[in-house]
Amino acid sequence: MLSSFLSAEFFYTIIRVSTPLIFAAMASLIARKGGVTNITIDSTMLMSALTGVLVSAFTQNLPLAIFCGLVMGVVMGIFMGYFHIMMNTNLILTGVAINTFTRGATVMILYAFTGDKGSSSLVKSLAVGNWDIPVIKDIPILGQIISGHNGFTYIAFLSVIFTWYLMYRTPLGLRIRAVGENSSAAKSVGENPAKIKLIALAFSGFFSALGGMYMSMGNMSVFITNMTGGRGFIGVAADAMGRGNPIGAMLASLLFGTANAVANVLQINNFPVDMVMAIPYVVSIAGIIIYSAHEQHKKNSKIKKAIAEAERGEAA
Amino acid sequence: MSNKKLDLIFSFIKTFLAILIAMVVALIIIVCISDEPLEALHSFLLGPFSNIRRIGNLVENTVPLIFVGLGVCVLWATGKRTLSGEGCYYFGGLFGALMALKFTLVSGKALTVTSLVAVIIVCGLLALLPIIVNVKYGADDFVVSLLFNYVIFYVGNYIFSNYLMDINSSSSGSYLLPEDTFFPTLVEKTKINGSLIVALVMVFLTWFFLYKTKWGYRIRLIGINANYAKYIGINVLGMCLLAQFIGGAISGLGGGVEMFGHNPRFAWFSLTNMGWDGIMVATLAYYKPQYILLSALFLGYVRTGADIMNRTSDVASEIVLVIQAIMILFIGAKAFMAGTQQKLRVKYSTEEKKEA
Repeated sequence: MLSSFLSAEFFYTIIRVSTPLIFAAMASLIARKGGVTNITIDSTMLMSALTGVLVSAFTQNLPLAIFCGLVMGVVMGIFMGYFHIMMNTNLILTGVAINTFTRGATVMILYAFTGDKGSSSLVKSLAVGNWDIPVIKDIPILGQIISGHNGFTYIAFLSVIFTWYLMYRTPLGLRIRAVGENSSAAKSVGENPAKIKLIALAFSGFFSALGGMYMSMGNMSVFITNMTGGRGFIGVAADAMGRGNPIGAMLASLLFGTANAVANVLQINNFPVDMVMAIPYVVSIAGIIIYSAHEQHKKNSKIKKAIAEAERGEAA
Repeated sequence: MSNKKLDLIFSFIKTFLAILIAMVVALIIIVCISDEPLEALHSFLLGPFSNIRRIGNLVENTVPLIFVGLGVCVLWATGKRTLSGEGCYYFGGLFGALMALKFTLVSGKALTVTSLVAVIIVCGLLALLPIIVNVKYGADDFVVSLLFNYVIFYVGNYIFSNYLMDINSSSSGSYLLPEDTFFPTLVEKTKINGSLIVALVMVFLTWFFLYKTKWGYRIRLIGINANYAKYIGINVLGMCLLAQFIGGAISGLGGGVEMFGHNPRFAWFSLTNMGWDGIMVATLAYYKPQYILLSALFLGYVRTGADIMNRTSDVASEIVLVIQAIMILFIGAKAFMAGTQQKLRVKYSTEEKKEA
């Protein structure tokens, strides 16, 4: 069993299963920088996964299908923003409503188009293939690990760079961060916080869509009901652990991906399936707890320091 | 007219409009996707009342919704938004079945009572983890409880597939649950049984707990203003734990009574989504236990209608979820009709001033 943990295949699996988590983490990061915890990422992934599959099945046009999936993601993001920001609905309630909506709508749409409630296997949909990277693919081990992945996987890593660039090197990123840090202050210097939050949520939906489409049009070429299995929420956890840093969020996603890959290996080696399936979720919870405890400790020590300084000032 | 009265009237109007909008959208969807829209509509709207068996189904669908709805009322009373009801409901059912099949010290109705008490304790404890890490470390309560539900499910499924699964039976599920533990039937030819009485008693008890005891008062105070509660010396962590324990216990009890209500076997192979439905029921009732019965009945009606429509026409029963979502969005939207409400508020208060 140890040999399967050390094989190139194992590391290849980590990257493969981390892909949707990276997309979800980026989606969460952009929204949270804009001051909204996006708990509809999972739903958005599901809707886009379905949209992509159905459009590709009925038009046999892959670029069009991906385009429609992305549009669906952006629409979902703006829809969430509209109700949360414009209609002033509680964030959790908006999330609950949209998640409930997606749970029903995906099955209804799937049933209406394919006559099956479980999966889209009755219609033939398209998928993005695996890409070999020239030169690198010939390097032993490394080539096996990082070459030959799905197209979406490479886009996922590019999206980390894109997110970093967007957030820290563009005026829009600065605006999003300003609104997220202090909405009233941003408003007082003439920004429109609602508009900027909506833009952030649109980006969030865009990345969620990529993550969803990876699941139904990359990793597999079929849509299965509830196929995201809470990955959108694990993405939120990864983003929380990454402390708002795209690279950190990516590393956290890879950590959760590793938990997933370990679970896969254990499953093959006859460990009880259910216990193994729980591992990624346990790791995610542990990750959030450690991160939050650390943040709180940092905050508390800052306050203590401030109090100590104030006391010293009084004494002097 | 006082502001309080105006608010009350507006929450009724808003709820009514939200239901109306959701139903109209549903009808439009049905007309669009169905080949025989009139028949589909007929079975959706009138199906639940067409015979005694279907009315029985309606009640049967309503009972668990009452439990999860009450669960959310208490779980959310402190202002913590956890989804623990979902995991607790599932585990309540599983643990009820486990007790009924494996606990051999008592039998018959005594076993029913013992099992339900055990379910209450276990599920109450299960709901504590998300809130402990939330209050202690500030971890996001919603996300933690949601991820924890998956852990609960996989552990539960492990117990199910290793200890309860009947591999010799053609219908996949647990071994047959002992019939002498079932609740007595209340109405002949239906599945309406004693669990309905338990649910109604729980409505009263939950209302009593939240509105007539000092713990309930403290819990609601934390929900209104946690800092204020903290500064006047209320033990916030303790009260949050109590609320989660009771909320989780009620949700779990809902799952537990399902196992003693004429279900031949335990056969849940995934999370039940009842936790999400509980949020829907509670939101429709404005988180007040006294209205839970009404909102659960309404949702039970819509759900029964959709089930019948699913069987008799070409519209999937999942349309219910779309209806639920639209209702939550409009009831939750503070800006929805806020303008009109504000105008009326101004109008009445200026009138009062003139009179004075």
